Amino acid sequence: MSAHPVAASLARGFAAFAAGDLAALETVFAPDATWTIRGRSPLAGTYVGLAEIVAMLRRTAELTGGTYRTEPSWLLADDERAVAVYRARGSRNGRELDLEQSLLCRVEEGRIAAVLALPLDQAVFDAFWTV
Amino acid sequence: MTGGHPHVGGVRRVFDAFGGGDTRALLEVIAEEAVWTVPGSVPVSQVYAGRERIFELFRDTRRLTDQTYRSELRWALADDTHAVAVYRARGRRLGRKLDIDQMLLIDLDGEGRWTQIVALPTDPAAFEAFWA
Repeated sequence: MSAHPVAASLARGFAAFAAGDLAALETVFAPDATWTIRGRSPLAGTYVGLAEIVAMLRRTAELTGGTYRTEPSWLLADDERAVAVYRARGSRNGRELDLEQSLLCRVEEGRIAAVLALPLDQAVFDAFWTV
Repeated sequence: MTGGHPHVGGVRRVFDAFGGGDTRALLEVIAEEAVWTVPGSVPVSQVYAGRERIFELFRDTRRLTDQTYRSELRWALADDTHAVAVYRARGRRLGRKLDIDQMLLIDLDGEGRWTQIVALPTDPAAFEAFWA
């Protein structure tokens, strides 16, 4: 069974992020896409538009001295929504992150239009990204 | 088209059972050794190992809400190894009201039975305030 094209697109997004090729994300996300991060960390909030999303993704690298990595475990999608489950790893201020996270996405015309980022352990996520 | 995968049918049957339908679906779809995880820091935030413990969770969600707890499936996706269900969770307790989307991330065995389930609220703060 072949993956839905949106799942393949999301996989390319993870590959682009891993390669530091954030410009390639414009083929994955709608220009006015939003990305929401829950919780109490400095990363929490809603990022509106691809430019803000890319800036937030760059910040994850900056805050971790370039150690932040994401590796997709599995992806599912249809024409209207997509879900990614992935492993997030990194280190900062002597702390290690090794956490499963998920992205719950709304899809419009083949592109990701809205992302809600839901770590499987919000407390671990918040502790890592705070201070 | 993943939305039409046969394992989506298992998701629908489980939510039908939650809504008062045929509860045999719970025995047929949820593996006996399944592990259901509710993350967070409230009393229901536990790792429920085995179907009996999982059924206790289902009973607790009703008991703690004076039977008002409802979960209504909004959509599901599946392939041969995983499924996702997004549902509306509603209920009342202690003068509090829950009305949020939640997501199940599900690992499947070779027969499409659920072996690992993680239940994630899309609004963890609202979830914790309700169940605290």
